[in-house]
Order: sequence, then C-alpha cells, then structure tokens
Amino acid sequence: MSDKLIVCRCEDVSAHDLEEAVQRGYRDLESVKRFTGLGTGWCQGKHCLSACVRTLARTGGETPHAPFTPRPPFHPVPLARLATIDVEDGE
Amino acid sequence: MAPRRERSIDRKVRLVVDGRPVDAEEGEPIASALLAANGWLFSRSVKYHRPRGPACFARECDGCLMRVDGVPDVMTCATAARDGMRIETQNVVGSAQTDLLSATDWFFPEGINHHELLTKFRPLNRAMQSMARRVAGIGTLPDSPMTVLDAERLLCEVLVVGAGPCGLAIADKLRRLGVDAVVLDEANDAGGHLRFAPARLHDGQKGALQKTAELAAAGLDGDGALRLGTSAIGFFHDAWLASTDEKLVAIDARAVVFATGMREGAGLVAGGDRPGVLTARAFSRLLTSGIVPAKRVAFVGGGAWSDALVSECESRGIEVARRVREADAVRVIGRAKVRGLEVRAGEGTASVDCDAVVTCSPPSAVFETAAQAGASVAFHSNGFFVEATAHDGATGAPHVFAVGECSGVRTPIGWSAQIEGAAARIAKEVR
Repeated sequence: MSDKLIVCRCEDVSAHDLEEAVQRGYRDLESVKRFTGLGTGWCQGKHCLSACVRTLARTGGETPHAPFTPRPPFHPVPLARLATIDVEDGE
Repeated sequence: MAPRRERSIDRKVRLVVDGRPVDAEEGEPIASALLAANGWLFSRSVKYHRPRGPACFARECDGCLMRVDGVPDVMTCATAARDGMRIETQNVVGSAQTDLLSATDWFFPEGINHHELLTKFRPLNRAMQSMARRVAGIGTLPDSPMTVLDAERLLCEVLVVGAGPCGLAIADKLRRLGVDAVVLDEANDAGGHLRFAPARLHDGQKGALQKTAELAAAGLDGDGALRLGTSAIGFFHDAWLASTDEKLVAIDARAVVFATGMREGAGLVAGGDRPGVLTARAFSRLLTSGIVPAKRVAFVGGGAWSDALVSECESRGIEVARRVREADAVRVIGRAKVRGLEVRAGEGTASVDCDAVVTCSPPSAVFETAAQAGASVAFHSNGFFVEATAHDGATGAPHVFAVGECSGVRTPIGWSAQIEGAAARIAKEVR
C-alpha cells in the first residue's frame, strides 16, 4: 500500500510533485515554488518550507541560501480591517 | 483512542458544530473543544480532499480552519470558544467524514500535474477549468459584512515582536534603561514557548525560565507595555502594522526587535498530512491545556523537544510506541485518523500501533516579519534563521534586531548575553 507524501498541505503538493519539478530542471526553491505552487497557499510556507528543503536535499535539488521572499501580511487579514489604515492624500 | 479531556469542564459553554451541540471550556481554543468532542477529523484538503485536522496549533498550517458564526477560514486553534458559537465544516461536498470530492485522491494516486492535465484539447480544458473554479479555494464569503473599528496609532521608541522569554527580557531591560519599549504577541498569554513546553526542556530549566518570564510580563503589563492577542503582520507606509481580532494597530517605532522564536513545520512521512499527525509543539500545547491527545504515540524525529516530550509522556502514562528518525518513518497507517505507523525494520518494514504521530522536525526561525524589516535569513543547522550577531542581536538592517532562538541562539545563557548587548546598543541608538 502506498500513500501520497504531502509536503505542502495547503496546496496539496506532494514529494512526487517536487521530484518531478527537480527532474524538469526546477531545482532551486524559488523555481520549485513557482512550478508546483508549494508555499503559495494559506500558510504561505510556514509549515512546509523546511520540509521542502529536506525533500529537495534528497532529490537532487539545491540547498537554499535564503527562503522565498515573505510578503505581508504575516497572517491572512480581512480587507475591511486593512482598509482602516490612513493613507495620505495623493498616495 | 480519541483525544480526551483530563478533567471535566469548569466553565461550560455550548457550541453548535454542524448543527450538533458540543460542550467547551469557555475561552479554550475552539479546536481543543472539537478534538475532545469529535476527534481529529476537521475538514478536507483543497485539491485532493484528503482528510485533515489540526497539525500545528500555532496558526501555521491550514488544519483547524472552520467557518465560525458565518465567517470563513477561522483558525480555530487560535480562537476562544464562546457560548452559542456556530461552527461549520468548510470545503466539503457532503461532510468531512464522507466528502464526495475525495474521489480525486483515489483517482490520481500520482497526483495531478496542473500544467498538463487536459491541456491538449481546448473545450475539455475549459470544462475542467470551470469545474476547478467551482471547487477550488477554501470557504465561501461571510454571511454578513464585517464591522470594523478604526485603526489605533501607537507611538513608542522600540517595538519588540514576541513576548517569549527573550522578548520579555529585552523589553524589561530596555524599560529599566529608560527606553519606551512595547511588546506584542499574537498569543493571548505571555511566555512564548515556555507556556506549553515540557518540563524537561532547556535541561530542566524551563520552570525557572517561565517564572522569570512571568515576572517580566507582569511588570510590562502594569506599565501598559504588553499587548497580547496582537499579531505583527507587516510593514506598510513607514509603520509597523499589527492586528488584533478587532482592529489594526499602526506602530511608529525607532527600532524593532524580533524575538519570534521557532517552529518545526511538517514532518516527511507518507500520510503525514492525515488527522492525528501533529508537531511536537502542538502535542505539547494540548498536554498543557489538559487535552490528552492519545494513549499511544509514535515520535518521528529526535532533538530536544522529542526527548523532553518522551519524558513527559512517561510521567503522564502515555505510551511511547516507538521513536524513529524521519528517514525510517515510511507511512502513517489510517485514513481519517491515525491507526499506526509503518517504519523501516531491517530489510523490510514493520507496523507500529499508535493513535497519534508526533513529528519533531529540525526547527526553523519564525523569520517572516524580520525578513520584511530587512534582516537576512540564512539556512544553517538544518533550518532557516535570522542573521543577527550573538553578542548584540544586530542584523544587517538599521535599527532592526533579532534575539533568542529566531536568531539561532539556542541556550538561555546565550540569550542573556545577547539581550544585554542588544539592550545597551538599542538604548544608545534611540537616544
């Protein structure tokens, strides 16, 4: 019996998907993210980034120098709440 | 054995979960009440509709998301249970137990390559896209528009992100040096990981460290310098933004110190996304909050948390069924809950019975907000860490500091030295 090894649970990206990406030449973290969607879901890589690096290490991918660029907001925040920020005129 | 409460509920409130009543302890995480009442299965994953449940208990995964009082995607591990709350499962056709869309998982054992599936013929592709759009995403729009409060503006000299042992210590030190430092933490209690760490962590010093942290927190709180339930979310327009459950707080500070700690993230084992597989820190949180997650536990991965939790299990009568390295964990046995763990044994494999799997992966810093502030983040010691000096927490970015475990300093003695140096330097910089 076998089962998927899900590395990124928010986007259901499996270790097999990561291996496929590496085989196609997407061997660094940023390329893997773009090709598979890993790290682009709800948690934005918080839960899966290290697991992805460990998977890449054993499938011939590259050791990263840096994580993929974190963007605000750190957690999902309702737009209505973000809209309460004052923005100066002309911006 | 499903998760159960160690003691009976003290202040009982009633939740309605998919139409059925569930008792909860007032103020506990909704996810804890759901675990104790209904077990690990909460909902289904986005693509293959695989059974899912809470895995991290730290707002870092998608496992506990439920619709609460008509609002989608609420992180129930971080939301307090209140009387009358209406909780609904999201993202299923049918129920979490029998989601019809889980056929996708069976139909595509090798997965779906979305770059190539049905891309050859346009009409088929269009039909597939239109179906995918209908089932994609998590949750549906809220029942009613949100009411919002005005953003609050907060002015201080130093913003400290994280009210764990290091955040509290440096804020305390700065205030004693006459610097107006304010500490934020997204949790509702101060103490960081000390609130839920097992007793044996930090070579048995966890208790003492926790007392020191509590004293510091009390002092800061008395000064109005401690803001709990407040999550730093990013840097916009020259201000740090933080969010509470109700509003934004825009913070103007001359310097910022990150003391955001570490996380483990997912373990690597087939079926490791199934309900009943949780991180070491999540397991520890549940134990601390009076929920016994399982009777028999398998540990995947070693390290300080793993060792300390095994001791904790032994003293609580929770059976440690097996401890294996991640490389020797083959597959989690079970569909919507954990029944066992398949492990490497000699030339083949063996099955170990258990009702939860605890993954103890090499930890990484919670680095995201520090990186946004301009600090560099590098990979070493099997994890990502914010690059900051051990002697004064300085990062490459002006007026941006990082202290404690997030900067790679792992011992309490190291923290003290770093905090001394950082506080002295920061006090000089903001004058």
